[in-house]
Amino acid sequence: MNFSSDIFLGFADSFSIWLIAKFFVCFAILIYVVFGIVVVRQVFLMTETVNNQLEFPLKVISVVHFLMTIVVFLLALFIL
Amino acid sequence: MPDIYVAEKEKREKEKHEVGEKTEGELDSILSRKTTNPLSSFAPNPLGFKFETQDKGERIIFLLRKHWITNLPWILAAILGFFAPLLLYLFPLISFLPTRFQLIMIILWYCLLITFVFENFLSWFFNVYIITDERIVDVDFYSLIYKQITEAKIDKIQDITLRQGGVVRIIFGFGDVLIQTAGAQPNLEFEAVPNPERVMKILQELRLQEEIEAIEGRVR
Repeated sequence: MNFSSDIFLGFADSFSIWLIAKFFVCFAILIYVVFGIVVVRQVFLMTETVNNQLEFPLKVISVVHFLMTIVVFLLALFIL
Repeated sequence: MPDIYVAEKEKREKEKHEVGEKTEGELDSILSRKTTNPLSSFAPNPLGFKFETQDKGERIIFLLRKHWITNLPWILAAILGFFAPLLLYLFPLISFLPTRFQLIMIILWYCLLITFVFENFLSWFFNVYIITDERIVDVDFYSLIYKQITEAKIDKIQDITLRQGGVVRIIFGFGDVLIQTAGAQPNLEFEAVPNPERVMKILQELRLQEEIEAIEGRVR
């Protein structure tokens, strides 16, 4: 009985308001990562529809943008 | 009496050829220039440009986008957004947050700013109006996942209306070209394109050329 209550109290101590904040921030950035995937897909569809000289640079930018969203997500996960 | 008939026919033939030569001459002057700048919003004969529904042998005469000045609102918003975190020194709105949260917030702000700029650029760059020797095409990307391609044959064009008003439009010389087409064909609208009067003239010439081709039986 004492053992389980100690676990609960320990959990309650660590469960601060900033942990909840971290969860919400990470969740928001996760949505941003999904948005990054949509942007990559969108650029590929757009370049299929209208093909021009900037096709390759735009594809690279969209992929770099997606990688950037992942980096931000990992940063939030580890720093916060 | 037969002589008068022959004379009228010859006159008509002569007029037809004169109009045809004039039209081809002006179009040739446009097609002799090649646009190499991929960011141009008024590109006659664009180099290295293709579109999804382009037919084999179909020649792109004009590629149009909205005038670059229409991008000014989002460019200004992005510049303001770039300096916005500096205001936090004057108005410490997020100072109650731990430093690590403040850091992530600022990084996230700049990432969203990059996304904002990229999305607006894509929207401007890929929303194009194409005039080929056979038809006109309007490519619209309304949102991230919605695309609309509207096209009409040049011989289906009935009326062309030019709409240009407002100080900015007059100063920078851009306006709307509304194209009404026959029957169930959808109407097209070229919004905020540079040199609308020239676009209108080219469309009229192409329509005339199509009519001449139809008379001569050279329709593709």
